[in-house]
Amino acid sequence: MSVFMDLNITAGTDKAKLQSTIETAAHLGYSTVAINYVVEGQKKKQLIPTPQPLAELFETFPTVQGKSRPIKVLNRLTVVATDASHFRPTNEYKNFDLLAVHPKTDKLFHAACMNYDVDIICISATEPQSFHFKRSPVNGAIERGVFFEISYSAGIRDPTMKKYTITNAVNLISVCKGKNVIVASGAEAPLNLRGPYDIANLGLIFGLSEGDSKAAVSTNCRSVVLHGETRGTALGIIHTMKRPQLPTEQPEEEIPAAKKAKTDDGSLIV
Amino acid sequence: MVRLKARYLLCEVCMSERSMLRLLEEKDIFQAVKTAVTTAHGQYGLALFNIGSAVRYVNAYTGVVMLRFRKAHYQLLWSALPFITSIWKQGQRVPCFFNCIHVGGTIRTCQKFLIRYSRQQLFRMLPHCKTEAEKQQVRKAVLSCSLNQLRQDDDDDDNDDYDDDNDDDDGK
Amino acid sequence: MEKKPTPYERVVCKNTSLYHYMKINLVFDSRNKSLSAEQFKQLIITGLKDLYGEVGAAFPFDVLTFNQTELSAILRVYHSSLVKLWSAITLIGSYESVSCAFRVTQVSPFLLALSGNSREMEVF
Repeated sequence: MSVFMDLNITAGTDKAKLQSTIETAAHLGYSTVAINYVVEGQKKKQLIPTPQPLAELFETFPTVQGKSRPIKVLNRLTVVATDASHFRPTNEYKNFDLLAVHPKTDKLFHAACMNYDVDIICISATEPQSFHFKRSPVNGAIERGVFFEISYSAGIRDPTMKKYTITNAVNLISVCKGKNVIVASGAEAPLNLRGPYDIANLGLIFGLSEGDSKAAVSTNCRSVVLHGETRGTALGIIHTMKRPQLPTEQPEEEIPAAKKAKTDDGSLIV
Repeated sequence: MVRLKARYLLCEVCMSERSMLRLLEEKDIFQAVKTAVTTAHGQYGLALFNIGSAVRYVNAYTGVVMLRFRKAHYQLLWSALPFITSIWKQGQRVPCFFNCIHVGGTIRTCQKFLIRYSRQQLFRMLPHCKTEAEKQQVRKAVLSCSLNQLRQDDDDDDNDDYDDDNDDDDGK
Repeated sequence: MEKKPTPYERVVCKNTSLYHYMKINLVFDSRNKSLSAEQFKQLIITGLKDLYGEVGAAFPFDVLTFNQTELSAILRVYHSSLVKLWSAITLIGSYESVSCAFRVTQVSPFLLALSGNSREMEVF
């Protein structure tokens, strides 16, 4: 039995809305959520937002439904790339736990699958896909452990977007055969969220099998989070970090002690 | 090598006036099918329709059209075809219905079927001929399409066709 | 040849029942929204029709109970159309241009199972 995760909750400007969204997610049974910051590539020299410190967001994190643990909140950056120059791995990217890219062209999709050091590749849900999913880059991404994300809340907000969401999802899943897919909300408001079992059922109409569609909200998401953790390390074996001189916002502090211990173990064995 | 399989549906568009068939165009048929799928199966049907569906062949004289659907969900899309009652043509509604005559896996099998089917249609026309000249014309047409087939088809298929030919001649 | 009736009959229970029961809850942004059982069913049918068209709108399902104050209901659906009904309910996003959400509390092939609920249980 694995825990459920929703790795896409849109970070708006409204803090109270974000809080209530995360509370709803906890109520619905999600153990981990990721707050998503989006960078549109078009504008020149757009600043990459620094993630809001999580301690500011909640005094005490809401308890997950059916568990006694508080919800775990991650930060995630999505780069919407229409040109190869939009994705530049800088130090600012390292402030985030997860890194996603939303390629808009065929070339970028290929590059994102084969080369980019990202955790998630987003599939557009609000417009028809401008390119075909080819088997070779998709297989390359599966090999590398990069996951594809389908977000469903666009279809809930606007009924006409349903068809694009379903078309793109069915297209993707027929190519990747149900492997390496996660389904996340992309919710802006609490009412855009749906329960994990509802999403597992929704996966069935995208063409996923029952097992794959449940994995899309649970085990696959866990792989994404672990992939995100190892991205900052060398092959997940060695991890270098600056010793914090000042006890200010260090994203490393977000990693719980248990996870750290795991990587240490790995290095010892190797 | 993996390939995306498709299903080709050969349909006959039946209209009350044969003359209207001349106006048949690919995009109108595509639109008609799309609307029918949307009303019958909603956004879900439309989403599936948008993947790899196309009108591959339109014969404006016989009213035969060939639709291409993905194999994975052709049955759902096919089920919407009987609900087409009209095609919009230049702002005017032309009542018609779709009669599916063949489902094939490749264009080639559909072509083979279509040639055989069209020839049968010609035989059916024969008794309706009024003058001897017309009769001759139809006979010529029958022969010409069997010759065509001779050029295109494989050996075994040809043999079958000759048999058919003889039987029909005797019957007359 | 005369066909003899088979001497014994083998009954296989595939552990699927004809019906499934769903316990659902409608949530609105504003508290004071109220709707009747008819409107409630109409909302679900509209959602079905939107996603699955006229074929979807014709799916047979019943609202067994409806609590107007809590906006919770128990639905009975055929096993074969469960996935479609559930996904349609999931994708319902608004009622009369007020955003809303269906929370599916429990799904079971047995009506009796809905009397207790393990998912609502709060663990402290």
